[in-house]
Amino acid sequence: AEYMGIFEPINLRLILMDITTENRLRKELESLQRDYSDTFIVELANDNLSIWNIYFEGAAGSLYEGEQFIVEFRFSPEHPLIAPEVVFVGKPPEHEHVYSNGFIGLSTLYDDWLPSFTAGSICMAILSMLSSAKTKTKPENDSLICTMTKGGSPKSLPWKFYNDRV
Amino acid sequence: MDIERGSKENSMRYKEEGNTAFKHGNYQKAVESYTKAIELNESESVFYSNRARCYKAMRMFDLAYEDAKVAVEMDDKNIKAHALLGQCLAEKGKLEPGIERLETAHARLMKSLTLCAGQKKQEYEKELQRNILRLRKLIWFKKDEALRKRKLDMLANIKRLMARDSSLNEEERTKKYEDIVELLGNPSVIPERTVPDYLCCQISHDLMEDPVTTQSGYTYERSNLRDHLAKNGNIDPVTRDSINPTHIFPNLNVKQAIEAFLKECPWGFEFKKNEDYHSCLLYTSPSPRDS
Repeated sequence: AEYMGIFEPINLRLILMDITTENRLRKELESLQRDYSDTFIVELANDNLSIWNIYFEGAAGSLYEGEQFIVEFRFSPEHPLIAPEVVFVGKPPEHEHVYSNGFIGLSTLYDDWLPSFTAGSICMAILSMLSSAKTKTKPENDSLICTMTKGGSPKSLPWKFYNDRV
Repeated sequence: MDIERGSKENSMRYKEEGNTAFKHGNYQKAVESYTKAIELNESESVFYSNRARCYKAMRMFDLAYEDAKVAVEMDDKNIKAHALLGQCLAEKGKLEPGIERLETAHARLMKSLTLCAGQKKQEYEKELQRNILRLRKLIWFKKDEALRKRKLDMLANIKRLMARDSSLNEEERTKKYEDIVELLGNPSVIPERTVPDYLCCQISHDLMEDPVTTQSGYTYERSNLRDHLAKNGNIDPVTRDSINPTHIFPNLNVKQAIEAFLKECPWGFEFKKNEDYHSCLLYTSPSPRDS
């Protein structure tokens, strides 16, 4: 089944952002379009740069070769001090750290976030995470997480990371 | 004597009234208050410069200019009056073809800046510095545009002269012309401009104003680093090493490098891609301050 974006619908224009955050996002956008143009395609969901949809394909030679994915980035008004909310929209990949509702169990999106990370580096981390999978499985607590967070944001979960596992 | 003293007190009251109105964005009311103050006491430079500030906020630059001029004539050390004169001149100069008025405006702002040092007004100094850098950016764009126009005219002349030279055939003429364009630098092509990464904050990716370095060796804009530490704890924004917040030092060399870069490339201040002098924002809205 297809899952659309799992957040509650909100008025996209209400997301206020100050000029330094906007400048930084604009620079990230330019850099992504210039340096990663053959790996990631960016689409802006609104005109203040706060929500991006990024299209990419599973890497050649990986279990996800040829599969198409979309991730949605929702940037904080205090980006880059606070991590963006990143989820898969549409059909998420079958991976032990990716939940059926699109949530991603990647520590750099939570405890390990640093302001030096960019949308580009996060996308590379996600692509890497997929490429290094040995088998395709769903996370153990998949249905639990999905029911717990119906309509909520990934940040509403108390994520705990053990080594490389969620 | 009593009447005189009463007038002085009343004029001060009107001034305070004007200041309050200005703070609330009530510029017309502020002008009226300052005018009443001036009627009672016409030798206070500050009354005129405050009124000028209101006129400028209402974009009535000619009136602002007149008042600022009077203020400066009364008190050559009136920092805000000099700054206002500069700003009014700059607004006018922006719409004119030459750069003389803009350079006069720049001189006024520089005078205001030197006065700040003498009177220890560091808060105002920062804002004034930014206005000066914006003006330099505007002047650079104007000069650049004038230069490109001169090149275009020159090339048109050369083309005409070459057409008269019968010793060359069509192909030779085109080749020679292209050589000249290449040597001169094609005036229709705007070169790609970027601000060097090593002068930018690792958090905002913007050119730094007050660069500071952590134990990791990475350099950040002081205010951005402070915000990051408050939000994410005492870890380095790039290496994740733990930081002692008292071991953060100003990076004087990078600051010098930034100043040198801006001197050479004034367009690098508040850099936006594909900017030209039409899109150059001169000033932010006035911040209400007591005088």
